Amino acid sequence: MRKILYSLSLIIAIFTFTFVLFNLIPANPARIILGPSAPEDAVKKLEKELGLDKPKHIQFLNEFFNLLKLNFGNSTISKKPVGKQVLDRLKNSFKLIFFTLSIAIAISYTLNLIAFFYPKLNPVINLTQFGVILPTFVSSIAIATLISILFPNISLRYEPQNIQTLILPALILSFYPTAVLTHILHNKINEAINSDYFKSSCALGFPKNYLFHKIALKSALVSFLSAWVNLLGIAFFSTITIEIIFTIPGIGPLLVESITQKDFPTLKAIVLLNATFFIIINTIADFIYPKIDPKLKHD
Amino acid sequence: MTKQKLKILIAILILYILPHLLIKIGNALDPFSIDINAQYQPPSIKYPFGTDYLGRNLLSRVIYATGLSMKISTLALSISISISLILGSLAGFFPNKLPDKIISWLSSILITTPLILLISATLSIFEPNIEITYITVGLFTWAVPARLVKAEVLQVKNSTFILAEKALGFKNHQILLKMIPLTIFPALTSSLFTLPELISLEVGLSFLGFGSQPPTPSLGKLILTGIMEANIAWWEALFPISALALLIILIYILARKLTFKPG
Repeated sequence: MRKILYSLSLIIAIFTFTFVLFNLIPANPARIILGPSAPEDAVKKLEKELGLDKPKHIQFLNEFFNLLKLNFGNSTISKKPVGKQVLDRLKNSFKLIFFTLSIAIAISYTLNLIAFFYPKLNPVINLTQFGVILPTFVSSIAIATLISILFPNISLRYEPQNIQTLILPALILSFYPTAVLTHILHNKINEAINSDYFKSSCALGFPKNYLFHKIALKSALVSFLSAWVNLLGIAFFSTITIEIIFTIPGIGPLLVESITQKDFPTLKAIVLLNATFFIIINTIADFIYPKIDPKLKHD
Repeated sequence: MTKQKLKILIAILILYILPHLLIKIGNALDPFSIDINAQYQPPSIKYPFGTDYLGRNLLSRVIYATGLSMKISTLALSISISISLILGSLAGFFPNKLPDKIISWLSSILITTPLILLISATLSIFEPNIEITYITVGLFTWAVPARLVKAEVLQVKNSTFILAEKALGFKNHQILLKMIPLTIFPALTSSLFTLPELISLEVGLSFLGFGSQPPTPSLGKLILTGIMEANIAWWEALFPISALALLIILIYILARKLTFKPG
């Protein structure tokens, strides 16, 4: 229960941050939107529209209650409600991220399974630690560059009805997460293999399948899950850039557009919704850890 | 000073001098002159990396942009280390009391939320500017080093000589001041490993449009135009991204050489 309140406090902090950023700056937000050469009465009109002429605490409370009603205001460019637009884009982005990280889980699990049954392949797995050197942003655009150089005719357009066009971006993005997950799983499984309980289970004659899945994997699961949740946040950054390159209608192009056009309500909604989503995922993971490893329970 | 600490100081000196060197070299080779007749030239003797859409020499632009990215990242790193040293020591020195609770709460926010959102939101209210960029990046990336500093301070705090100082009657702030030189070197070496992330953060920001503006070359913009035009000019894409990868690998090797290997 305390964890939930803590997470709620984090979300409220982010909300306050966006409010301070976009409403309380010394410069006039309406003036920033319209540029330095706009006439005075246009600035005043925009101020009234955005509700900036009321006192600051009234603005804060208004925004907070609007938030509880899930009303994020209207975009200054298209005058349409912001919430729906951002949520649609978020759906696309998270489709890509979860696809990427599922590929990473599948590949790291398979590689470690093979390495467990055929121990001669262990040095190959050790090579994955070289995939971890370059940050995820660099490796994803490096591979994307190589592909656009070597295959200039590949169609990079994303069609929503054709899920196969997401495979290439997801594969590109999954390079770094796969390397990290394989490396972590490999280390933890080796730790488990060298422990006493594993050696005695081996001696007792359990089949190799049972040894791998029920004993070695279970010890590795907590670190694996925590690395996976971290990678979700890390991969978000490179997902934004890949979306810009491959013109996938996700958060990336929306972020760039709203920055160049100074669309503050959209920016507020993007920051708030994304941060909320990541905080929720972290909280859920925090609840799952004690269930997997009872040593982590503390009252 | 031990050999280890000397090596770390030399490495930090290199990290500050190298960007200036690169920018000087890039400037000497003239990254700004436009020559429409030489658009999209493939690599040759005269233009070792080829030219871009305005006929500018890509070699000088890549060198200049690499130096600029490194300069921005090292400046952001200094700000981030300073903040994390102060806040981490405070949090470690008063564990579970008010300063620690506030600092841990703040660092939780900064670790769970993707930093690119907070940084780009903050940079959107200002005009694109190099100084604002590295100050903002430094202001948001202190969270992970601060955790390391706090762990280090907690460890040192329980050692006997600190207890002895307390018993002798030194006040808290005097002990704190004495502790900072002890904890600074581990924090510096571990933050050297976060430099690649800062570099990729800076390149990503200029990808999105922040940081240095045209005609000043920046790695992010070079890579973006390179990928978009890769079907007509493969050299525009290959050289910037190789420069970036090379830079990060070199920094990683530097950081590995400095890490203390037990036994």
